[in-house]
Amino acid sequence: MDAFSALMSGLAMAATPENLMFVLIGVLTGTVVGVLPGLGPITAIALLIPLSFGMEPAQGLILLCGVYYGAMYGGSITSILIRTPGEVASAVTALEGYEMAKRGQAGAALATSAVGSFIGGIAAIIGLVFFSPLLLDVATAFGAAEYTILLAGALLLTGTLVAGSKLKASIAILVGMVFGVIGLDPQDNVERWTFGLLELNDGVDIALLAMALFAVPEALHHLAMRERKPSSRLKVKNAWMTKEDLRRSAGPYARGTFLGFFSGLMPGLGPALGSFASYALERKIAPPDRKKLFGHGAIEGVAGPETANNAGVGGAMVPMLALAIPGSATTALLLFVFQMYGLQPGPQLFERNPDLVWTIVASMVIGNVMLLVLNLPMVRLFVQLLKVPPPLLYAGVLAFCMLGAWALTFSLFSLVMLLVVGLAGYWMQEHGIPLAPAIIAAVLVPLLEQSTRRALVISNGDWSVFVTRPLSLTLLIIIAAAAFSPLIVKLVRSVRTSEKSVDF
Amino acid sequence: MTGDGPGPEPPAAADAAAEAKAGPLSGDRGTGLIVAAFGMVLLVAAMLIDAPARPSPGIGPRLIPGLLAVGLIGCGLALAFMPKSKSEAGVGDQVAEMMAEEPVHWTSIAIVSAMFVAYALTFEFLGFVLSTAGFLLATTMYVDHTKWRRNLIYSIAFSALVYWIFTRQLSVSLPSGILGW
Repeated sequence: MDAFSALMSGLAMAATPENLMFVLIGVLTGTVVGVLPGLGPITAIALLIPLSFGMEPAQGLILLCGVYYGAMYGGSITSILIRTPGEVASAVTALEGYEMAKRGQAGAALATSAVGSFIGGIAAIIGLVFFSPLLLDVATAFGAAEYTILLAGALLLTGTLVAGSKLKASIAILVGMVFGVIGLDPQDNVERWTFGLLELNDGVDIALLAMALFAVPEALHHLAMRERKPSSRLKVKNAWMTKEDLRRSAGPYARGTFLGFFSGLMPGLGPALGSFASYALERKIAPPDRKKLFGHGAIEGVAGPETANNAGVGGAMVPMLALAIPGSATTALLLFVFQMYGLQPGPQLFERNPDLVWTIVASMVIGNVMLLVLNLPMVRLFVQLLKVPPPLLYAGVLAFCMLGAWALTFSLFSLVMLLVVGLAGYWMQEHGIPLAPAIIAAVLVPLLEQSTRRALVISNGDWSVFVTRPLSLTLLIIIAAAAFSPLIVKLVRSVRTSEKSVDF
Repeated sequence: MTGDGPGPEPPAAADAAAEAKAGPLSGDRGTGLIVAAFGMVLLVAAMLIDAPARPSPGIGPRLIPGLLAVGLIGCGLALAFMPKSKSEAGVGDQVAEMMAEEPVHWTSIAIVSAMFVAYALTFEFLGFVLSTAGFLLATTMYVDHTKWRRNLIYSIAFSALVYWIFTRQLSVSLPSGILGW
């Protein structure tokens, strides 16, 4: 009940004209950037961080959270109409959404996705309100050993859910960790991998890393492709659902909400797992006549994953706010934004700045309502953005990155870093090495190292501290089960395949 | 996502074509070897990290960098030399295929990258407006020189407008450079 009344007072604080304006600007800007082909929520936030520099923490965070939700919604428009998702989670929506649009049901697909995003988003915020206090209670019992296990588990889980080669995902995680380690050692004050450059003593900025690994490679790629005309898009008249659409989507909405929220809660996994799991579940439980439609535009394959995707965003906010452990690449960047304002998420943030936390959470409720109310009628306007000629769009993105990098430190060194990391990111992307795990790893590794070393200092170098405390041992078992369950499932499945062929 | 020409290409020929397009050291072997070499450089640098003046119990400053470097070498070598395992086609593969980028010719990459390098290096000296307008014009002209009027107007309008918004409205200072604004 406490959390609920806190949310209500948060709503009152978020509903001031000024804050409402920031929510509106955030969701609209996010939608605009999210609609642009190839640009997802993380790129949107990274590019728009400079906008929040001069703002009060609450306003800056309200704006960027709005950008997050807006970009998620905008991304689904692009996925459905031109099959160019900005991130893995919305790629799942494209599987059926694009097929629906090809069959002339673009409006229904967009409305299904918008309503699903709204339901998932609101349900996840309710989940956040009730789960955060629980997690905060547990978090206060956590010592350095428990944090170490949780962070190590998050890193491990980051690698388990990546489309494509696991080896390449491991390389991405290691590269991200390398970026996270660069700088002065936090305990012994020794320079590590700074190569004598004083500017590297403070480490590599996460916002710069996000721009360099997401926006720069994407923009360079499209410019190097010399694309002159925008991708051909499918037509949309009105975003609306029939009663039949709604009836078919109701189940997937409910299941997607649960799957998305709980997968978002898992540190390191984020919303992508929810999308994948929801799609697989809907395909599996569909009656035979509907099952045939999967791959050819099944509405359940849009409703479930899109709801899960947005419920996952709220879910991923829970460990980020309560434990300072990001559940996804985007929440890793949001964690950085909190730190940029001198705020450290975790139990202390809820204790010291409860108004700020609940205002931000309440602004998410308002943002979701705004997105639904504005975007259904305005979808045709947003679709016009898909007409922006690619050379203007991507050259502009690079200029924004340069501006963002400059605004971080006001020095040429940031620009050189953006250049070097951007070109490295481009090389990685061209060679199929996924970039999202690198960001999560870069944020997690300094936290992991600090808590490991703290735990070992407290135990006087005794490593058994990680298994002898009941709480740390329990966490270890839970994480091991979560991390190795896909492997076990795979093994069981491969045994079964020898008997009969498996569909998924 | 290789092979733009009509009709299906034999897989080997398609791979070879993609490799030629992407330039030297492409493919998983090249990628793996480059990652392993990067790991080697990091390992040497990790071994050169100073020992702390007063070592504390537990792990020192070298352990994690060393492990990361060894991990990169191991993963790089595995990528280069381990046979690829064939997995069954699932949602993940469909998504991976959708997210995969089309290969680009390496000369085109080199030209665009060179423009980006020049932009970064002239950003402070020329100032935001001039360097940005120059970069936008150069890249848009490289991609589509037939629309030179559009490119010119866009380059000037974008850089001037963004400069005005950030310096005047958002109080973010941007380099004025030789224009001296």
